[in-house]
Amino acid sequence: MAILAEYHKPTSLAQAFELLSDPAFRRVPLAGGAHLVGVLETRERRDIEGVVDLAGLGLSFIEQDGAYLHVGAMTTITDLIEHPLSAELAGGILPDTARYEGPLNLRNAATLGGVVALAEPDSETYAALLALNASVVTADPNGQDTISPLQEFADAWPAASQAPSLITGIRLPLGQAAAGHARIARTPMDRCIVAAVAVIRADGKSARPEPADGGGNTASARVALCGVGPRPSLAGGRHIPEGDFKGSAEYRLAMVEVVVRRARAAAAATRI
Amino acid sequence: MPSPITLTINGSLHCIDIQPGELLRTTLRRLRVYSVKHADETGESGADAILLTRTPEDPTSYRLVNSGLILAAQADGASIISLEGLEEEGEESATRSREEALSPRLSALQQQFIECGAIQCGYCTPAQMLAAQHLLDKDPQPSEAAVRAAIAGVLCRCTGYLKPVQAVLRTAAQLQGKTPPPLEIDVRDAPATGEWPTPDELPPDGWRGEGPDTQTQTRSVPVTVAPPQTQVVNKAEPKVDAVKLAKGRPVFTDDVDMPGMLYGGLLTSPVAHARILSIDTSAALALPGVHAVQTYADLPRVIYASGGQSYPQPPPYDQVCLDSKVRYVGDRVATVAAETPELVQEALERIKVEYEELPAVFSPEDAIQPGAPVIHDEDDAQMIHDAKGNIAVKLRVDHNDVDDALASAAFVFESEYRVHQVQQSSIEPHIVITYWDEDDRLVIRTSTQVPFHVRRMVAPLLGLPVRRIRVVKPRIGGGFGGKQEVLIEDLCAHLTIATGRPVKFEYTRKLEFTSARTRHPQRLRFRSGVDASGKLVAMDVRVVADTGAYGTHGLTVQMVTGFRALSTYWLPAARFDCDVVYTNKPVPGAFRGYGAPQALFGLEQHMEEMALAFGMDPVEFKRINWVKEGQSLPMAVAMGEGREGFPQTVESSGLAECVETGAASIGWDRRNDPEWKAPPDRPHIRRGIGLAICMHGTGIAGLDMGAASIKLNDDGSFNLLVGATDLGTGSDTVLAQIAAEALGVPLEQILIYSSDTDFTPFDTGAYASSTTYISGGAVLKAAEDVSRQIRRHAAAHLFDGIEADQLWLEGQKVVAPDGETVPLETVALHSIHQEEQHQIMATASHMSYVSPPPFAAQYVSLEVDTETGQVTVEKAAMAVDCGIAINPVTASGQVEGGMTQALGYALCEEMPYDPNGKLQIDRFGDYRILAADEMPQLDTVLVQTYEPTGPFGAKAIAEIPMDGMAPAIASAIFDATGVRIRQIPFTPERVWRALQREES
Ligand SMILES: Cc1cc2nc3c(=O)[nH]c(=O)nc-3n(C[C@H](O)[C@H](O)[C@H](O)COP(=O)(O)OP(=O)(O)OC[C@H]3O[C@@H](n4cnc5c(N)ncnc54)[C@H](O)[C@@H]3O)c2cc1C
Ligand code: FES
Repeated sequence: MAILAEYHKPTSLAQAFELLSDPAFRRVPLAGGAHLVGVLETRERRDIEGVVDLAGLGLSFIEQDGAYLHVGAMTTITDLIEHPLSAELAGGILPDTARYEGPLNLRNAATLGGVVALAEPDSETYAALLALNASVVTADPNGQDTISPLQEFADAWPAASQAPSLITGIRLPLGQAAAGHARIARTPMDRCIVAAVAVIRADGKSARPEPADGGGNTASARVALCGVGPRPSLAGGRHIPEGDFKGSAEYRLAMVEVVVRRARAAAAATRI
Repeated sequence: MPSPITLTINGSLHCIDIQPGELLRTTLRRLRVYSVKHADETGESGADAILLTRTPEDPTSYRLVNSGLILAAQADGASIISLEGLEEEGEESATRSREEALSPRLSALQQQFIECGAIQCGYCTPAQMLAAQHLLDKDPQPSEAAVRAAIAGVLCRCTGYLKPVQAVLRTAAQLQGKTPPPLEIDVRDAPATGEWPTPDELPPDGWRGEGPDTQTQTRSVPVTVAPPQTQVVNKAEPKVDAVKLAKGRPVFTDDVDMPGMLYGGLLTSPVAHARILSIDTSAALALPGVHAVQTYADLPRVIYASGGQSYPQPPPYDQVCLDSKVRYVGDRVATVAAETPELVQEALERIKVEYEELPAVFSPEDAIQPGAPVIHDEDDAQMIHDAKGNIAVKLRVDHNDVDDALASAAFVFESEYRVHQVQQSSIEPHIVITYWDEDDRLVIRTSTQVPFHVRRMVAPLLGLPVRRIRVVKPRIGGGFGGKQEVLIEDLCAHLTIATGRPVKFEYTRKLEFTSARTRHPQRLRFRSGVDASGKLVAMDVRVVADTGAYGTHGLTVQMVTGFRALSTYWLPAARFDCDVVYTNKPVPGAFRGYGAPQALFGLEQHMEEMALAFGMDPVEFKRINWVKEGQSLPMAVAMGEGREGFPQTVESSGLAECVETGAASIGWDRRNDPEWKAPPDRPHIRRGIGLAICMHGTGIAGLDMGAASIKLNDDGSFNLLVGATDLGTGSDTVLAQIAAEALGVPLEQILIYSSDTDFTPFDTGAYASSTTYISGGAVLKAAEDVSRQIRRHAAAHLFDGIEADQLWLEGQKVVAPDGETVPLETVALHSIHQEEQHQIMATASHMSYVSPPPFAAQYVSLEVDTETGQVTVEKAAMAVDCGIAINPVTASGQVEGGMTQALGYALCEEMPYDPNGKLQIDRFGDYRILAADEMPQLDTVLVQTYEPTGPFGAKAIAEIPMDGMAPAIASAIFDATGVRIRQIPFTPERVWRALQREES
């Protein structure tokens, strides 16, 4: 019962922005559709008249760009985790966490841009991106590209302003790193209640002191958490979880220490 | 605005106009690719998965995706493979020989799915096979883990995934040129009782024969009484419906196109308790293409009870098709019939309803308080026990003087347990198509477990005589009790009556959760006494059950709770006292186990706790008390299903053997190994093993009736017509096996058809674990009658001087003692065309005044993460005495699937509500049913006994696997941590809190 008046598939960013900027129509970007088609079909979202399919924009790619891996927003999770570079990144933390995003048929449709745009509180892939210190590349109607660290991007997304912006890619710093992952869920493959992903970079093992935030995160040792806030976030600071039937706020908070400790230990136990 | 797209589907190019919001699944089904199934809207079921690519020239570029989560427009230009496309692989169909064209071609995977019994209802099968084939194409020698991961996105509610995984691994072996080991299920001749193999006689490899590394092996151990020598029965025959299901043919309710068909939809209540002040349907009706909008004002007010049960329906009668009051979030408000599903949705959203909200209650405790809001204040409801007090039903059964017995007991123990609400969640939603036929009779094509009850029950609701209604049950995509209900047939039929058009009405997954049926939550209090030797002298069980907004099945489910609680162990005195209470919640009904899983969660823990408190080994305590062969079941008389019952004696029980065999399978001795229980390298882990005893029933004594007709055809084959409904359990196969055995023919000579109220004789339907026993009894009688007729005709005309009763049927022939034979075909042609012409045919009915109990021992081993409370089950083993397994493959499939559902009940399935009574889950995923890649190891052992009252010695098996898992897990958690948790599900937080409490 997806009630939709329009479907567009632009072939250039300019066209896409033109469609998305038209105030006369309520249009949204469509990536893999794994989320959006479902909410249209269930009528959870009734405010959408048209979709702008991003599939024609050439945003499905994975390339090495110096010390970074540049992943196009329309790259599916499967393509990402099967790519040799991402599979090696921090001991394969992306494939490890992506298994919990959903089963194969979901991973084959869902895109990295969709994961970042949705920022689901229990997305362990998103937490891995945070721990890997990923940056988000966005484009705006003026043809301006902006690169911002994921945690900063998240604070400003979705853009409050009328001007649409599109996620075009994700940049992942390459380089030696070890990662650890700990999770709590109702069943082994269920979406997590609480989870943590820790990434320690090779240079973080040196004795050189680094500036750390409240959670002890530094540029080279970062822990990200799921299930303790409206979206995954770096450990530390104030976590204000919302309780639900999978776990109360109290339980979630109590579990932070456990999963962070375990994820750190797992990362520390891995040879870089 | 429609726009054209092109799709290459299984190699053929299609150009089709689509709507902008149209799902690819919809387009595919419009193009008659019926193997693509609807099961949900949000993609978790994966029943609509297909293979898709934009670069078909590279076959490795195909990806498995859900066609219901992609817009058709997104797929423009893509190439798609569905299950229909798999079989066309290899040569072009044009080059097929005539022989090949006449017999269905099966791929290696399809063959293995059939052989292994990997197909139960078959609704998930097309997507599951496609996912598996895709894996095999990429990885011809996959590990078991790889197979499980590959099919994990296709949920199956029937199989427990074991047999599908086995089938894929065997296919891989076969494609590698290896011969997979024969799928042998070890059925041995009976030694005398007492000669059971001891655990150390088991093969050292733990029954894992050679061959693919599957997590499970099914086996049978010797029977206590020799089974009859059989040719077809007690054999692993492939399911009679397997080919069509393996090929994804259009066999389900949804898989028909009717000219002029409209779509139906239901508006449900957003509030938990309210009077409808007004409904304005004008804006909905104003939409062009909307043909009917119906509210309580449009339909006759006829009081009924919706549970699909025998006449007269057990009370209370507290429902009408559409009411001016709503009693839970999800209750029926109005229906719509329109040209397209989108129009239905728009029309539903345009109906304006003004509610006068009333205070609501969400727990039985609150509902029975004085001054609580009265949920059924209508004056025309009938036979509610105490409507003002919100008590739908009150049950009180006494057997001897419990108080006296408890007063004189050496030791008395009391404990309380809670069980929660869960849902059947068949992968195929409820779906109905209704239409007028050319004789002005209303045809109801419906996914139901109870076609005959549906016909009888909807007739008064529609104001039609029964003779003007025909109910057709096609294949069913699972039911588990959820379809033992007249749930939406009435609403759909009303829409056909209003519009004169065929109407299809299917629930969305969200409606399934909010507005279908569930399992009754209960609070159970047990008080028991023992004598100095530990023998039970009395048990007193008090249950408060929540029946939600309506009382359907409320009486009978709770009666079964009482019966199971008070019959598994032998009791000189017993009392059952139960209130079935209304609340403003979605409605419980029939769900596999039917009150027994609730009872046993309490009973088994109560027994264990009592033994420990009394200072006895719990297993020994259970052993001296459980009901044994030759013992009577006193509660059976007092507790029929909603009426007086009949005396029962246990004629067969393999329980002791089940307990022994199961212990060997699970490695019970590990309970004494400190290194296993607290692994030194993982200090936060504790391990434990638990056991629960189970006893169930086989049909409802004195009530269930099944009938069968058998007709001899010209070529010596037989039509077997049964009213019984195969919901995927394999009952058509089992019934056909019984007929084949009795008629001395191979299985393919039996053409079974079920069920259509115009053509097949009556059957109460698929519930109460009755089909094999009751309907099977009818088939056996009919077959014996046909056999007599054949032998009489043959003796009179085709043999010389031999009496009919000297002849027997074997190998498709009538055989005489001197070795002379006459083929059945000859008898058929002769009796139909040549002499004393008549149709050899018989119809027989069967019912039973006894309900012989199957027994089982359920074991689990698990680990508890003491820091997080997360419980991970390592293995579940069930040894079941189901009498003689008519088909060991389908029987073990029932056990695996049942155990898997029971694991969900114990661990992760839950229906949480917000403070306003709104369900907080509306999709799979949040409502977690186990996926293929997170299953514990499963082991099924069929411990065969011979039940003298059953066809070929059979008892039931379908429900008992549901019963013991939750208490076995509770027992294992206790063994691991010393903490007793008296409430399910064992979610991480619940277990963590219990551990915290214990610490402080
Ligand atoms: C089987 C299954 C199980 C799932 N389970 C869960 C679950 O348990 N919990 C949960 O939270 N989710 C779940 N999901 C949803 C899943 O997280 C998302 O489907 C997926 O991550 C979204 O990716 P997509 O590419 O399909 O995005 P789409 O659905 O196409 O888009 C999602 C949103 O992001 C926006 N968007 C996408 N890409 C961009 C971009 N490049 N720039 C700007 N905006 C963009 C879209 O406009 C839309 O609003 C499940 C989905 C499936 C199919
Ligand atoms: S066989 Fe899988 S859902 Fe029924």
